[in-house]
Amino acid sequence: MPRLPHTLLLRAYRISPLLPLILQGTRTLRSAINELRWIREHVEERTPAGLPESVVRRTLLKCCQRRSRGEPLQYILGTQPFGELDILCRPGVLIPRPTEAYTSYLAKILLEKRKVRMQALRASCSAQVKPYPSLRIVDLCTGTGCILLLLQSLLSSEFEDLHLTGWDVSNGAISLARKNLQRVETNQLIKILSRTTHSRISFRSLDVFANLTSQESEDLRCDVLISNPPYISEDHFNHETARSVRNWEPKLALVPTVSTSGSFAPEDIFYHRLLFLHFNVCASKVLLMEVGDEEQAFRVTRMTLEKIQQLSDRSRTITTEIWRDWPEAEPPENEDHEFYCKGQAIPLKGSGKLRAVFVFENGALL
Amino acid sequence: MSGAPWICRRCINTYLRPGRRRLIRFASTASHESFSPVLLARARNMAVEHDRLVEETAETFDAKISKRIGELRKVTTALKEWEENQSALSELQALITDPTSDEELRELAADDLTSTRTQMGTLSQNLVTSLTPKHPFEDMPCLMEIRPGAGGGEAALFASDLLRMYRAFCARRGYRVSMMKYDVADGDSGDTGEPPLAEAILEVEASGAYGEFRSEAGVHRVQRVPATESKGRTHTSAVSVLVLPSLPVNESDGQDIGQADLNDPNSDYYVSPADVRTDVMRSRGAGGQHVNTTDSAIRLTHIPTNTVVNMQDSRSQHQNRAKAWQLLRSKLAQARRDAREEEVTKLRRGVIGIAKMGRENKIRTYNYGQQRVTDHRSGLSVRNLDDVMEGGFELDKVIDSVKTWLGEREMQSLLAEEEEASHPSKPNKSK
Ligand SMILES: C[S@@+](CC[C@H](N)C(=O)[O-])C[C@H]1O[C@@H](n2cnc3c(N)ncnc32)[C@H](O)[C@@H]1O
Repeated sequence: MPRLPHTLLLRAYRISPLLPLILQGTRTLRSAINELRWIREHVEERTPAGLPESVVRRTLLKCCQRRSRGEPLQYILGTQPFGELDILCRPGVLIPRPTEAYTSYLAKILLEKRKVRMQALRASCSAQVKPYPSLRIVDLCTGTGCILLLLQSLLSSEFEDLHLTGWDVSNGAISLARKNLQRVETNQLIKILSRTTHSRISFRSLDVFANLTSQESEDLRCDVLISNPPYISEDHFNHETARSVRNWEPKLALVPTVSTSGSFAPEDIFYHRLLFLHFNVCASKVLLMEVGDEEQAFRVTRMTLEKIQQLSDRSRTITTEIWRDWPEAEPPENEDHEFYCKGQAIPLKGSGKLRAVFVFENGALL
Repeated sequence: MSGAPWICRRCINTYLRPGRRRLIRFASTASHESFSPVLLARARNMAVEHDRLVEETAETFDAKISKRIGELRKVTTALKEWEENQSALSELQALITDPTSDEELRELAADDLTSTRTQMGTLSQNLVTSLTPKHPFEDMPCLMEIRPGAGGGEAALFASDLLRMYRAFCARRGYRVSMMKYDVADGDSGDTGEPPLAEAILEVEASGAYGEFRSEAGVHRVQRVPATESKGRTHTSAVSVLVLPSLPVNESDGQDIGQADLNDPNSDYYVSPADVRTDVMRSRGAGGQHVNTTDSAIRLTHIPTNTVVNMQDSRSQHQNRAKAWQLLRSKLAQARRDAREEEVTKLRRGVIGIAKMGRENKIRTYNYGQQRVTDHRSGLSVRNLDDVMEGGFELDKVIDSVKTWLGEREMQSLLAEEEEASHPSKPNKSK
């Protein structure tokens, strides 16, 4: 890694003697200044009143030294915002990325579907439409639980009966996700108490590649399956991840380690499994999977279309889309709007990099 | 109400404060002997409207009309009291000048005349005050944006001095403040230990803060010898201050303007999401799991007006976005208000717009060598620069003097407008 230019370090030092330390971690002055302020606020907030100023200074220095070795700020401060939530972070569990946009967009789609359904219900007065539809969501490879907790927070006001389950192979992740659940509930106590609805949310341990017990298969049944699985190849891990990711975050969360026998790339193995679970176990109607880059988005799309072709029931119409980082944003003119695959035009929604593959069965949830 | 200029009530009161000789030239406005006939006519028209509306709505209720009645009530009451006193005055005068009055009665009347005259002054003041429309943002909390202008590092240091000054002022007054945005610049800290400022936005949460601070908007100039100046030369640098209304973020906060106004396309507070482009800091490389940056900066661009706001203070992008929207709304509301004011003043030849006055001009000089602060609008100089910079009572003096000045200008505008309206022969481009 190139050394930071001397002039930059000097500039930083003139603003604060602590900044050159943080600069080692952030590499840009702008973010270093922000991080120093956040660290300072954090330390001041946590230091009990009455302790001498020197205690604050020493804690502050310790934090900055940790940051200078590349330790992620999120582990030092212990949290990372995700959408409207503040998520606890611990070494050993992957830090939530600023990818909340696809989660919020999914929530928006579900809310719209729900509105249409309620209107239809009111218009028809038919006994066939269940008045209080439950919604089951499963999040595989849940990590801190951030995706599921954000979905709960966005959906629980409209869905009377929400049933959410997050699964992960790592015990550290599961226990952190449970802590996060507690914390969100404490923070949103008023909101929760004023709700007439109830949602059940739990976090459980599971290796998605293991043979499933019949109880597990039963518990995995859901309407919506979502996952941000490990998707980085060994080569990308070594050359294209940030130093702080490589040195401080769990590799288990980033690089698939399952050996593959199929015709697909090793870093795609989770998608293979997710498609199987979606169509063969969960009986879900909506599937949303985060992907790492454009090539992976295209490979996963092809995999999905092949899987759909193999389905025995030909009457099912299933739509596949690729979402960019901000699926709701106005797409810039210089970016492609479609991707052709197996004779189909797959829409590329929003702006930013290709970030998720969305599979949706027409008429689902209606 | 017609396109009257917006006047700060407090200004008028200051302006009318007895014993201020430099205000004599406007005495005709408020003097009990000859209350400006145009203003009196305006008051009478409003009172007539008031009575008519009250009668019309005797049996029904209409929120809009009753709001209007509320607006007119103050003028109506003030006018009634003024007129009653006026006729008492004439009666007393008649009594005194009437040769047939008996001596004892005449003496009593003379006594009464003095107190009635004094009272006339107060009542005239009340009437003028009731006639001057309130600035629509007057009662709102405000945002104060402070940015260094010409003068490099010195300007950045003085910007942080001004921020400190306003914070101290607010602390003394008991106003709750929060830093909406705080961006430091490169360079060594100044004498106060505060780092130089690139930009700061101070949110003053007290209602009425806008009215309190709006006259602080403009260019503040500093003349002093910078710490880095080896030859002891005095430098001149500038800092600009912008004062914006702080709009409620959600319904429960809004007293005057509710959620309805934020969602009503015809309101000054409305911003269409379709007109706003959002930009976020995009990581180089693949993004996703590959990086764990803490970048949470948001930039909003209002395309029709090319208004840009940046926000990066919070770790949460969600919060930065909310704050950026709040700031954008404030900026656009202020800009629309200014445009409207500009429009009105264009119709009223000769009187300089209040909004415009000062915005780009230097409004005040802080001269450290002479320990002096001079406001170029009111012309007031105070000698205790340190107390001003500590947000002390000297600063009150300066701010009050500007309010007086502002009140005079606004009074002139009101008169000019009324005079114009009472001479229909002049071509009138409006409507
Ligand atoms: C990229 S992280 C995603 C975390 C979280 N969903 C998020 O978006 O921040 C992938 C997660 O998958 C879990 N994981 C890895 N292998 C797994 C497996 N075989 N079965 C279940 N979970 C696994 C890791 O422990 C890690 O928490």
